[in-house]
Amino acid sequence: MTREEQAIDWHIRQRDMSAAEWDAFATWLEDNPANARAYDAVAMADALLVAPPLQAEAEPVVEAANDNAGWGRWWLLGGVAAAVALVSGPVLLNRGPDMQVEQTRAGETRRIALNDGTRIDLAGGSRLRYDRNDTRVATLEAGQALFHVRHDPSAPFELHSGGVVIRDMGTVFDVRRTGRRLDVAVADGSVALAPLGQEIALTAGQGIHLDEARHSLRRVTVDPSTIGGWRGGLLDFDGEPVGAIAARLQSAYGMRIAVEGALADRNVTGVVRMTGDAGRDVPRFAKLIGAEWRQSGGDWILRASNEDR
Amino acid sequence: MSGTGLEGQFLEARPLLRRLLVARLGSAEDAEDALQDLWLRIAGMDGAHVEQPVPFFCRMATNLATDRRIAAARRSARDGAWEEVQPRSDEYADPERIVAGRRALEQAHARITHMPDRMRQAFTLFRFEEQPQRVIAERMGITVSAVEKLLRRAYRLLQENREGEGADRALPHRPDHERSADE
Repeated sequence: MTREEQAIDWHIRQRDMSAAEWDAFATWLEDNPANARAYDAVAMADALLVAPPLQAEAEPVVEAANDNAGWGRWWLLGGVAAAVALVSGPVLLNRGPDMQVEQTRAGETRRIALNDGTRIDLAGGSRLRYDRNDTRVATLEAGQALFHVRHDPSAPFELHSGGVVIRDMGTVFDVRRTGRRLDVAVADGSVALAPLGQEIALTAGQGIHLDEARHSLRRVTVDPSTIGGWRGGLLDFDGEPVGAIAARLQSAYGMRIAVEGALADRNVTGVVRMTGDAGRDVPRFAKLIGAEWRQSGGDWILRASNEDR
Repeated sequence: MSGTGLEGQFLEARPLLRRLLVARLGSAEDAEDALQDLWLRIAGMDGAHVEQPVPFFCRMATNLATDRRIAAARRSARDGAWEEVQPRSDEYADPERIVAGRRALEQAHARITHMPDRMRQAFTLFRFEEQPQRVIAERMGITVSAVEKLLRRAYRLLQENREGEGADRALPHRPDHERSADE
């Protein structure tokens, strides 16, 4: 085994190491400065790694279509998105598609102005794909975006996300894709979509929560004035599990938050104003949901205050 | 729910934590500074939920060391004075490339995308969903050692990627100028 392979082995085992194994690890590090150096490279690279967004380039995974485990679909979605894009492809091919991918890092937001007058605000940790030669179609592969669509009755704007297509009727709407979950909220105008085979029209103040993994669809009422509030740090949670919120904060602000135990599954409803400064936001959020927080390295760890909950 | 249990455990674990930090950070002074930092974090914690304090402290220490190494690398990448804080070694990933960030990240994401499915599944569960290997084994219907094997290959793949050259060669030892700091 090379030094580097040893370093990787130590790194992988760390979550389960006993005190005696930690002692052995210290001895290995001390044994040769090159060991410490090799370990350093592995640990630093790993610490800087954030979850990749959905990849439309990923080759469609045929076996995964039969995979009921749920997780696999996360990756499969890329394949679905790609397949959907292909369906609408032939028309575009005449002009030659000029695919553009806009991807934001955690904590980054971006405004995209399409040449037809449509405006898109992309939240942190999001990925949007569109064709510069046909800006009436876009695909939100991951994350959240607010769309101000310029309506054109002869060519409605279509937003694809996973297997869902949202068609606008002159609209301001917000879409968030998290793995198999899709949340849509309309601030102005209306959109039509057909999730799970149901035709739905949403008008201002209406939204849906779709969970493709659980095959569930819920219609919700939203305050149109709060839609897109995330751009100013206003986060709206509607029965969202703490674990999912933590992932959302990671995308939006780059905060590394781990949720321990049953707290991860507890649902939270409410509106929280974030500053983007984890040192201020995490303790306040923890207090709001009645959780304890602590810090470990660059990570924030949340857990329930009372075990008897 | 008092913190006194943790304090005692910390003092007991201190020599081991110091060894880890000295080895990781390369200097006794930095290690003491990090220990202080670690202590402050631990003192503010509720110990009732920590089942195995020593391994827990060790993980905190090594994460803290990694964060400090990254911060130092970023600083020195800015100052162009990497060699001064970094024990010299050309065999492994170039720290400036590690902290180069975006490009390295894109490269890693491409690698993850192209991993074989099982490997990517194990890696995703381990790294991004922070599942223990035991849980991953259950979910994937394989043994823990098979999970470890997949993770090992995944990490090697990612690491190879950033080096762009074979890791499997005789490595010169780095100069030993900081070893005096050891206990």
